[in-house]
Amino acid sequence: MKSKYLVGIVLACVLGFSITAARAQGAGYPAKEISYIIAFNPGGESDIEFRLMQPFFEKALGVRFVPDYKPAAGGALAWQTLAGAAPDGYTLAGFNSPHIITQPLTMKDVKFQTEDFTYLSMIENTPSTLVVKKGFPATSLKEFVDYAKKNPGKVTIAAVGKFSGPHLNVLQFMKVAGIKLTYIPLQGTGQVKPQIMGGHVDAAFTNSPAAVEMMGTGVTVLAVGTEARMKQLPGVPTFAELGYKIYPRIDRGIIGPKNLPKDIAQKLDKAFYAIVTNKEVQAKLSEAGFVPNPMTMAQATQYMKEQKEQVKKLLDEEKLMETKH
Amino acid sequence: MEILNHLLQGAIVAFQPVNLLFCFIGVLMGTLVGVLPGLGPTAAIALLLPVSFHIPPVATIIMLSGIYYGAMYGGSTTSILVNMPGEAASVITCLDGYQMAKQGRAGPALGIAAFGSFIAGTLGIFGIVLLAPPMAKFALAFGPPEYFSMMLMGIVIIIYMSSGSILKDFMTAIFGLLLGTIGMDTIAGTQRLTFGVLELADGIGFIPAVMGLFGISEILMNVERIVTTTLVTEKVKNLMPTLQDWKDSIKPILRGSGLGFLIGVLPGPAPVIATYASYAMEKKLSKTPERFGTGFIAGVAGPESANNAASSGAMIPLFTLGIPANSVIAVLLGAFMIHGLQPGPMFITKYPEIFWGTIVSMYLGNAMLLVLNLPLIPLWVKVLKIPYSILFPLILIFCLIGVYSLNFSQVEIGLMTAFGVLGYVMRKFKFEMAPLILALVLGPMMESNLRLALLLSQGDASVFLTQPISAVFIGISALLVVSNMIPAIRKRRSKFKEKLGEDDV
Repeated sequence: MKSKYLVGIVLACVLGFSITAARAQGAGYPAKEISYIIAFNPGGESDIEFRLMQPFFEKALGVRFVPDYKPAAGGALAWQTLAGAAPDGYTLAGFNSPHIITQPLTMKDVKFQTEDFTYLSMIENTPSTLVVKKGFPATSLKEFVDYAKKNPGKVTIAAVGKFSGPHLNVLQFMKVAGIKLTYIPLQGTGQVKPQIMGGHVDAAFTNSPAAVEMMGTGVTVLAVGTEARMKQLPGVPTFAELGYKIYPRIDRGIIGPKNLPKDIAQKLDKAFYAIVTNKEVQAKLSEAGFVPNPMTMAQATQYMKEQKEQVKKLLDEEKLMETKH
Repeated sequence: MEILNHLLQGAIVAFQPVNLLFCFIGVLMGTLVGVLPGLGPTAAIALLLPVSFHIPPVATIIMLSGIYYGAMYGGSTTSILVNMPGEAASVITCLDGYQMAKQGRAGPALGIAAFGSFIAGTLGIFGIVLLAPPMAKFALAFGPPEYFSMMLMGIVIIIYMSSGSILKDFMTAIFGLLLGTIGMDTIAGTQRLTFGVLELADGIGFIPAVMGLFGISEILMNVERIVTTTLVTEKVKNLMPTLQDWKDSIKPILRGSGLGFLIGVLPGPAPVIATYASYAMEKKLSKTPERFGTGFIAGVAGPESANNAASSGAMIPLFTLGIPANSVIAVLLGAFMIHGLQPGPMFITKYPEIFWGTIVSMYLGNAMLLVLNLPLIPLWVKVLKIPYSILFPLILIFCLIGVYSLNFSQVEIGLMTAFGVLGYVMRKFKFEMAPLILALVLGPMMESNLRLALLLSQGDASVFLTQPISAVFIGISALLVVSNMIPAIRKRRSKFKEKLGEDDV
């Protein structure tokens, strides 16, 4: 008799589990809290972005969004973790581009591929700016390019990291302008600011909030990587309007693992797009120094595909992928 | 007069009940995370960041600053009591602080750490008020050559840290430099010695190393002893520093404050360097250098003042330039951004109430910390009466939680354990741990600054001598080396002469 009960209980349990599992897959999603991996330190830009949007996420989807910080290797650890997570919609991550493109191409320890994710949404970007030190013999982009052409390799330009977004920005700029600069890889915006303000490097590619902060210290902002001029940087032209068709910037968005069930992906896509196009959210993002750049899942996927082709071409031409470091 | 007006304006802000409350919460939290090994101020500030969405900007900055300097206060407690630094800047305090505790003088050690911190904090605030603009310029004068030379001096300081064998200290320092090469080569973008472990790409974490070398190894050492005893077998003498203690400490406190403030202004692991430099300086200036490392109160007073003054100094580049001097300040900068405050050179003129309010609150916070910490001393000393069998498993748990809370990384727990075993072996063979820590911190920065300096100078190595600030550091380093060698050379020469004399006969 006892064994009969046991079988019954086991069966009931299995049935119960499979029903919950089925519910989690389908219409019942999300049924529990969602873990959101943040690839950088608390208090960094990725964290600030998430914190600003967290209440909106939670309201739209009705569950808690729990931040899970995995800062290491410029974000690679976080994305590698996500690539290995179950595609059930309960683990998502914020991502940065071009980081997520360059890392599999240039870092030998990185095991994921740029295609290993579902690109759910683009949120915003941080434009890069070109700044020169106080007393530099060029005060406009044209003068800068002319000066660099006359003194090839003499002008030093600092930015954050090697094979990083900012480094690619510098490479792209050198290519478009046809100049050669000496690249100085620094660690973090916190290091770039004092070096350019103290005049230890001639120029720097740095994100626009840092450029805004440095106004009034004698450094000159020559150009910004947005499509239209930024109101926080009055009088600063864009690269594009000066004839250089580049938009140096860091893009941020949301990804899930590859092979997310279609209905879950669609549900997230719809919810996220409504949030990133929400006026209140955009105002908050702008206030924190970001440029809102909302995209749907389809747009984001296409955008990342194009970005990867561009980055790959650039790295190929610069022969930076020959030996995977 | 203008300064008085500003201070008055700041006082009005700081004395608002809500700001007083958040200041108190901040310093209390700071003391707590400082005391708990591994749980550093960065983690605490990051944890409280979401709270700051809901309170006014001034209160946020006041509270988060409170955590920062409060942690510097609390950090010394576990260094002194159980030879386990609460945070990086308290490593040096272990050397003499723990020895004092073993001799039953934990009370005076804790007392002088608290008073020294208070004096340094107070002087640091005056420093900020009077010297902020020129000091900001000073911070900007440091480029890669200057940083390299300063760190070279840091390595040379190891000679002076030494209380035992200089040869062994050099061995550990070089081992530390080697460990420092693990991780991403920031100039070339290559990964070195990471063995495919992504967690190692940013190098070996400093906290797991410190906690392992000092904390875990201490536990391993004590496992060997008989379990029924307590940490301090001798009777606890007095709880407060004596007149003689004050005589020994007052000059180190003042010098440590000045040095800490100066170094603190520079971006980088300033409080850590400041404590090492202060210790080395006191040992050099002391008439009784042999007492350092044996439980000499000056060895606690100097570094503990230096790390507090450094945390005041670090506020200068934050407020005047918008430059974070270290990771804790970087999170504070994040708090500015959340509130839409624009850091940078215009900050003080744009938001005077925040700047002056924070400065005055720092003074209040320092006073609160003293009032908070002095009555705690008898309580802390009682910790030493807890039997090993209870105390050490507890410490072990705190270490594990603390390290995990940093980056939520299991690899770091493994690293801490490995360093614990290494520390145990080093203790058995009588190697000092402090040189390894200093080299591990300075090594990667020294390397990258050397290479950056050479990149900037197009390969010309003379920059280190032609740049005045850099030249001064190189000069000091050379002097330190030579002055240490002369006695040895003399000794040899006299021996040689004696030998010659013998040969003549």
